[in-house]
Amino acid sequence: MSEEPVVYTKDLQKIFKDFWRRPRARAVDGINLELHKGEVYGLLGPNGSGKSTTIKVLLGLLHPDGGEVKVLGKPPRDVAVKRKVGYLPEESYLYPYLDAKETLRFYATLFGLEGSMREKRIDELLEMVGLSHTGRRRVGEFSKGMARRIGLAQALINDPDLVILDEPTSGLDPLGTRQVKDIVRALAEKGKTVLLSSHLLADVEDVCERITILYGGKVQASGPIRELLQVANHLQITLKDLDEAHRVRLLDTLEEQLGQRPTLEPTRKDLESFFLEVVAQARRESGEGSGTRAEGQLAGFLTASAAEENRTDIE
Amino acid sequence: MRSIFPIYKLTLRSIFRERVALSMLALLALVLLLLPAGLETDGTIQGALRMHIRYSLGFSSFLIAAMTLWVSCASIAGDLSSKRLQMLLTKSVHRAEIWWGKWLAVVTLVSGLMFVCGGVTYLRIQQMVQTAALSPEEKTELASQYITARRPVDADYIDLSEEANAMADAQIEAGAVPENFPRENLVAQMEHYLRVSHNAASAGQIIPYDFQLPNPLVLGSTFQISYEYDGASMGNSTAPGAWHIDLPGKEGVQVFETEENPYGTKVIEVTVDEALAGATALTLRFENRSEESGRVFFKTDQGVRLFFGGGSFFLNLFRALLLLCGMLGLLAAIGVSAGSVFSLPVACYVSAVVLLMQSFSGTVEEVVAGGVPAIEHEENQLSHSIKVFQYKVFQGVLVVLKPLEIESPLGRVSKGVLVSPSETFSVFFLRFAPVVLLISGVGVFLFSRREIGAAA
Ligand SMILES: Nc1ncnc2c1ncn2[C@@H]1O[C@H](COP(=O)(O)OP(=O)(O)OP(=O)(O)O)[C@@H](O)[C@H]1O
Ligand SMILES: [Mg+2]
Repeated sequence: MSEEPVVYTKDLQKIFKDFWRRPRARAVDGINLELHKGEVYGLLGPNGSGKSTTIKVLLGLLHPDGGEVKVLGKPPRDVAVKRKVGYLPEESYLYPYLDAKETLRFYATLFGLEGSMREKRIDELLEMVGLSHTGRRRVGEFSKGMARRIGLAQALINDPDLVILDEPTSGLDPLGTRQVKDIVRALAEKGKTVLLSSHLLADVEDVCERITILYGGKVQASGPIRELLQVANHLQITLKDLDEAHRVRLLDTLEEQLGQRPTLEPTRKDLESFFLEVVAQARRESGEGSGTRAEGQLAGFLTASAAEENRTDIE
Repeated sequence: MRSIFPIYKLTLRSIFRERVALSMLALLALVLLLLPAGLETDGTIQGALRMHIRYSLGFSSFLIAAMTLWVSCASIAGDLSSKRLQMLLTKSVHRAEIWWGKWLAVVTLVSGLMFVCGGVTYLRIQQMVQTAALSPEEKTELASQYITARRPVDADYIDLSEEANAMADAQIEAGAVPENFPRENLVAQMEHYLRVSHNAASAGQIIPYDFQLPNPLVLGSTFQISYEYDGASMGNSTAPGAWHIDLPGKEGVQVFETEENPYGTKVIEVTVDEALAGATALTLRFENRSEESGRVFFKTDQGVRLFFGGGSFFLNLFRALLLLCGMLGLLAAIGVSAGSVFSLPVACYVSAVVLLMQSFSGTVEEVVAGGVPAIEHEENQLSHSIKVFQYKVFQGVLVVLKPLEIESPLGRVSKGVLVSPSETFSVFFLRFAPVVLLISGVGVFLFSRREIGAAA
């Protein structure tokens, strides 16, 4: 199992055709992917580059027009594969008249989950995505981000080995974005494979080990993110609390030693961490709002040890 | 098959939540309550009864059929266009489970509605019968002919094909027929002509009808002779006649004289006397006792029948409703399959065409019965090919329509005629079930090959 890639495609092709079977769009044009157990893989690309189409082929929703595709060692349309896959679509297509719990219960039942185990998972997932307090409110009334969160919860209901997230952070506030990233990292730590697509580069950069950049349905760049982002011959030194006198001395010394004078700039937080700090502060001061609240911790049943004892091998 | 139930539940729920069912229910209630008030009856309680069952309930069942089409087409097509199917199909569900879950939900809903309408109609009839001011005779007549379930026995079928063939040949030999006129059509015409003559009596003439009885007649029990006039060619408004009951070797065991308007259906009550007791076959002879020349005609199809025993009206209505539910189940299967292959408007259109075709199934049947069209004189190959193609299409349509064709259950209930349990059973399991399975098979097969998320 560890040898076999979790997702494998070779020369994958998908051409959208019109009613008369004339090719209209080459959405995927010869994509090779290989994802291994426990890794977080990013699929990047501008709008219309074929990310969602690739994902739909991996899920068996669309049929490839060429090439090979295997998910967990099997063709993706095999129902046995679907038991071990979780999917969050681009938009959450929910039944508007169900509440959050009922939504999860419905999907759980489709995986054959029942009784107290099912309810426990549902509670944990709702807790995880910060929707446990929505009660009987119907998901049709949910805000975009709330719908996204319930979408994420349903993708994890079956404790999947492979989690496919299509733009998981779209519509989420920075808090939610951070939580999703934490969840993704935690999932990978527990040995699950995560494939996520996004055009929010910062998100991908934070969580993915390897990425593929698509453009026009073709792979433009692919590899470990560290290697791809390395700027040749540039180094960075970080120091804390340096007074003016030390600064001048440091620069002088470096210039003396290296024959070039480096530039000095204060370290800046990124906007994300600044925003998160502000919200955390506000929360401490004024209590909870009516939207979402979450701890960003992985649901209990998804952690490896709990997964062992809860696993109901559904066949 | 585990996932059928959650899908079933959710589908039912969405039908209710989307208020389709509720608005339909409101419309149905309106029809059931207002239509009887709006329709004129002939003033008799029998007329009112017929109107309640045939028109009120009949119209409701038509509405329910229309609703079945809509809901069933929307069940999968709707989920597809709202993209929920994208999420559903990434779970561990087989597409067959989705198909059956949706179908069951639609069938549950429309059958429920059908039985609610049936129940309302039944209660109204009960109330009507109880409150009507009827003489004791009228009450017995009502109980023996309408609020009952009488088992019909039809006269022996007379095979006229040989005679018709001979006549056709004679016509052709005599040169009375245009050259290109298809022979089958000529034979059919001759046969029709012969059948009408077999059911017509001129002044002084007698027409016989032979009956095989399902059980020997029991002394003291009663049965009915029911005959339906199909018009008369005579001046008088009343036609004198007589019905003779003959047993093998014994003529005129009982004779009933009639003097009546030769229109509509008439019923004679017969009490089994010692002479008739134990008989397993009998012959009815109608004698036209008119002095003038002129003929009376009886309907060629089920014009003269015997009716035995009164079963439960309630159970009869129940079985008729079951049959209707079976038909709705078939319609739902067509709708769900169409909805899983086509987009919602196309699916609705396709299934509506099937439903309409069903109303014209007589025409379709005639076309198919006419045989592969022969190439006509001076007809070019293309137009002939088109005709043959049309014929093939009609033949295919008939395969789907044929099982839908049963003698109107509500029509029979309204006339107090039995819809037998064995018929209900066989129609259900030998006709509806296989066709539903076939349609579901085709639907699931096409659905499984369908891409989800591609342009429709
Ligand atoms: N159902 C469809 N029918 C026809 N063409 C389609 C269909 N879906 C996608 N395409 C085309 O395929 C190409 C890739 O689309 P895809 O949705 O995979 O892009 P994406 O990378 O997910 O974009 P985004 O970032 O906007 O989500 C686009 O050119 C799009 O127009
Ligand atoms: Mg996309």
